[in-house]
Amino acid sequence: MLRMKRRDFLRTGSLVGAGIIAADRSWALNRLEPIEDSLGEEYPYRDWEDLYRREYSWDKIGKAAHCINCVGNCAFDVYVKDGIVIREEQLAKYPQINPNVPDANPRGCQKGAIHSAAMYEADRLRYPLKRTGERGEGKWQRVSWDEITEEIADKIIDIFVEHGPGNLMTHTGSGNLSMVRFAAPYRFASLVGGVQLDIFTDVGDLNTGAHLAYGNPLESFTSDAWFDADYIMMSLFNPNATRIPDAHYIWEAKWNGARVVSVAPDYNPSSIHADLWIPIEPGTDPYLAMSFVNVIIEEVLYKPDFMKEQTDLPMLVRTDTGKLLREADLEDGGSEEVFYHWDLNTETAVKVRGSMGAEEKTIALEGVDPALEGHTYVEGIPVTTVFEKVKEEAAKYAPEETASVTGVAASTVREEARAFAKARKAILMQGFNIGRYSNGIYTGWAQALMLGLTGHGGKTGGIDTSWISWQQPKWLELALFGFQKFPRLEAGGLGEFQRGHMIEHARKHFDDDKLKERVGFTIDEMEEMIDESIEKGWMPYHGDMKGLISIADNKFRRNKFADKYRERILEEVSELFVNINVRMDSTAQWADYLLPAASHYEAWDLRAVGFHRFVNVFSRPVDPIGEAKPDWEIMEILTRKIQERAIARGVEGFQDGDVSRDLHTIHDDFTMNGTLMTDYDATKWLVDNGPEFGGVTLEEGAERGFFVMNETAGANQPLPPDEPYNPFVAQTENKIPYETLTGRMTFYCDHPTFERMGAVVPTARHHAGIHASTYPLTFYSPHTRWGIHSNWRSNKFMMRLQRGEPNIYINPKLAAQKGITDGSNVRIFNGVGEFFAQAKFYPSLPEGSIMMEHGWEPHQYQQWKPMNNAMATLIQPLELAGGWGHLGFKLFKWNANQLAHESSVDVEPA
Amino acid sequence: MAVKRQLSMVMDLNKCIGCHTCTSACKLQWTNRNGREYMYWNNVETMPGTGYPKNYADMGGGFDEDGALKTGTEPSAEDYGIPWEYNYEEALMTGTDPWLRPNVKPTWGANWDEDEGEGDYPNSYYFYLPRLCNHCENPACLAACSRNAIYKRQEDGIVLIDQERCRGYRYCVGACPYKKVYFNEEISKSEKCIFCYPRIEKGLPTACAKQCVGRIRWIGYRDDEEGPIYKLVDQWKVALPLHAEWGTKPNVFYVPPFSPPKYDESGETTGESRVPLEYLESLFGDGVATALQTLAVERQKKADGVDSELMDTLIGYRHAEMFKLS
Repeated sequence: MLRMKRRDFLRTGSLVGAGIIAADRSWALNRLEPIEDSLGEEYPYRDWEDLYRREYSWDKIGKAAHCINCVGNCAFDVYVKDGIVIREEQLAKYPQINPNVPDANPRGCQKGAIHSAAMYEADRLRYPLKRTGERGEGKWQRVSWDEITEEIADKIIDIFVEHGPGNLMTHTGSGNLSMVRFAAPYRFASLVGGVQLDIFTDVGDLNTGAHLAYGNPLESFTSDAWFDADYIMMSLFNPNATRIPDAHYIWEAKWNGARVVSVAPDYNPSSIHADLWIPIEPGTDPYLAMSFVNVIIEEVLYKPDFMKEQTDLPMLVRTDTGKLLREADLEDGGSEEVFYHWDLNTETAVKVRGSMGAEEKTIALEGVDPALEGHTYVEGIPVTTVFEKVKEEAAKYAPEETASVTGVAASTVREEARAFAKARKAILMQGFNIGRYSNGIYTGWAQALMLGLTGHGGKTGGIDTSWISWQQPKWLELALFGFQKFPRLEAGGLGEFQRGHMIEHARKHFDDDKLKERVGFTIDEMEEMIDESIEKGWMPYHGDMKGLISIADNKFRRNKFADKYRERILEEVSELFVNINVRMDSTAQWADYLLPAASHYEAWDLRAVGFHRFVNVFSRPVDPIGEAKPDWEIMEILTRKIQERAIARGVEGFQDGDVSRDLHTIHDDFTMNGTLMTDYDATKWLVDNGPEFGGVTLEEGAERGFFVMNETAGANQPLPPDEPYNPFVAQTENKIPYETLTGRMTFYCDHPTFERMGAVVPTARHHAGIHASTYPLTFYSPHTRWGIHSNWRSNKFMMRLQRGEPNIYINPKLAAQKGITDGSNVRIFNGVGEFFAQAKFYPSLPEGSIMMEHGWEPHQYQQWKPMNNAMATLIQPLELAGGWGHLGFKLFKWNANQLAHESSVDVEPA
Repeated sequence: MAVKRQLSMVMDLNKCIGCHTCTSACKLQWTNRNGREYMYWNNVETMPGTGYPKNYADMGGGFDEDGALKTGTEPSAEDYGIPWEYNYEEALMTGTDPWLRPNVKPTWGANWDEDEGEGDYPNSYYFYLPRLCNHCENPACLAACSRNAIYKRQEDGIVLIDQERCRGYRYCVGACPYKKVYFNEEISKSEKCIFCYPRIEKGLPTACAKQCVGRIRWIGYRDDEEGPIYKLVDQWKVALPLHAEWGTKPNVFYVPPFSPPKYDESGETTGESRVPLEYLESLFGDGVATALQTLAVERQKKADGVDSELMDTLIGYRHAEMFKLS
């Protein structure tokens, strides 16, 4: 081995260097030689340092966040040079709201940090384009805005004239979650009565278990409220990858003394910092949750005071019919929505305050001491309590029994249940994947029961549902045309399932007998319950459409049964398919007309949806590239053309139920008679009128980059100015009823569907998975750190930090059995489809599973065969229930999810 | 210390979430142009792993026990990862290519072994290690430069390659045991992390630190006894250099990571951490056990409702105060 002292090395090096110096006189002449010691002495030639200083320069800085469906909502400074955005950087100037809570700086992630590069990529839509070949052929003609909007306007009018209202889908996907971008197409849909699907359920994001229990899945923690928790359990949740701007609060809570537990099938990026990782058999989460409930009850770790006041556990249930005891049972003309406690003070049945049918809107017990346990008679009717029913069910799930199902040792469950129960503030964090399992509703409901039993609610804990809905009345008013006219709202997962004929896929993939054993229903029974829900009006489904205007939605990426779904939709909307988009995604490629939209940095806007109290401002740091336009302006132009053409063609209003669809005044209506013509006008209107902004002007907000919402923004209770926001404090502290049938946390549901499914109380069910079909490998597709759904999924800067092409994750042992090497091409298949991907070794994955993060564009797959071709799916019938208190179609709150993890596959070298 | 003052960085690996926001921030700040496209002045590695560039830790460089430079090899382009381009235009805009794909078949990249680590399920393990130039007290790159074109700034200890004096001999590239000097073929000079001195001079932290959303990075001067570096490195001794045995005396320090316990064959938890102590010691030296012990004791204080200056520092209540640049 060559060994030299430093100076020897330098001498050798200098000899080599000398020849080159001699050959390059221009360099040799502009420097004095030699330098003695560049380590210990001041270096004499530092003028060159201006080189990098010059690269750190710009013309101006604007403000923006990103308006896609990540719910991060992070303020950025946007650096502009020569009219081009050169980079962005987190603003990092949010005020600390409380000295004992870490501040929210610097919210952001790697995707937001490279958006300025993505927005100028070659897949960016710069000009209005009209299809010249067949749909999907990739042949386009550049046309003027005037020409393209006139053609579209005439086709919209044609659809109204020929088919009447209700034949146009105007769906805005989850890609527009900033206020103005969201309001523009929703306002248009309100005016034309267009079909708008629920954007939670159409991607499987809805936490139905939380709605069932609490009556509101959108009431949750600001992420800074995690910090003072002393117990945090994550399940179906991988915040280090999917809640990047918020995750620090978990690890800061850990340094603050909290115990952090991660439940996940794979040792995922969030598990690595946990105090305990619980490896769980994929899809068995309800069994684990019920085993916790079992221990809490059996070891008497529960808190009776909380249960009596905050939950329906002391409510009386008839043992003859299995129904809740209702006022209508005891009184002629009595309410179906008034219920009873057995008061231990008076030894009588007393009516419960605070239910949907009760006059007094409080859940305070006020002298009543309701029995939690026992059996008795009320006017001859045999009754018991909900808690007795819950105990009976929970007794089936001793951790010693569930261990063989979940793979989690009984000792682990018992220890964690004790730590959880005694915690001062315990948060159960559930990611969006909970909605993508057919048994996610069971997981959510049972976890809510864990909390309800142990008194974790309001400031002492609860479910983090990964979403907070703020109260912003003027935003809704703008989006929904002053509540005078509405879009045709549709159940999201159900609508896609029906339109895409996904039941055909399900019939092909699942073995009916095995399916019934696993999930509790056959395909026929599921179909029957779907039909029942639609016929009874529990869930709205509007049937086939003639035209589609698709905004910020990548429907041909996200839907299961992918190719068939696309074919079905294109066949349905044979008359018109307009796509409003920033880039050529896998849906835009199939459109008739492409309208180029402004990117995040090219329009005025505001964004409040997020896990914090800040409304970020988009100050239009640059004008849109090419001929792209802000969404608001696109709708302004489109409505102007529709109005002009309607008047020219003599077309007036179309009666549509109670309202008239007035195409001849649609531009006047859309723009409030010409007052809201631009993205800036709409942004300013929202700030000037929205109570949450507290009178601060748009100019001030744009200067600072954000607004701090005031107390009125709290939807369930005021947003405290100097404390994090905890959910359901109005219920725990002020005794306001929950928005549930009984006014309490709900653990008893006597809806006929729940009775039919044997799920009147929280219980456990399997998802379909490998045991419901003939393919041997579990397949699951969680969110990725590298994209937000398909956003940035094909960006080259992000791709270079991955494998460069779509990849699956595989345990090296399974790979060895299958003859698969790391980096090789594999075929993943089942009876309904196949796709190809690169294999990436991931020793932290169970051997019997294949994982593939979702969101890859279909056009990134070999031969354009996307993952979703091989994904058969189901509908969870419980999520179709209606006509029962808080169960019934509610946008963003209650309807059926599109499920993503029910299929199974096999894999082989390709 | 050879220089008047030395800027340093501490990273708490217990808070690193592997999001690569630092990498992306640095990429757009410095290396998305001018022949630097393949470089990551800042990158994040999954450990245990091959590192970036591939197997850099086996490429030599640094100093031996006598303070003599050890020879090092220069990584190949493939070791760094080829920055693929994509056929957006052909695949998406004109319909002339069937699907979107890279122009070369990817076989390696800067984050190729992401989340891989070692061990068998369910006792596999990994963690994230962000890396940038260590702005060493005894830089091997500087020692190896035959042109004396590499120097440490007296006022802040930042190590720079004089871009006018550099002739592109690349001795520095091989000599740096961390392989954090890169050769720019377009201009035939070597370039590296400059600790964002144009930002530092304006009182701003580096892009990687300012934009770190895990809030894992502290910047300050080594000699500032009220600053975070002194507290974490010298006072509490919980922040340790990477591969101190390479002899360059790094000025970037890491708080070593805890990991959840392993499982035994019956599925019961054991008292054993997944990441072996010996492995952490192979990276961060003998101080790991003491550092972890100190962290555990101080964390328990917080759980018991007792104050802990160390934990409060690591929590970092105010982001702006994680950087003390004067």
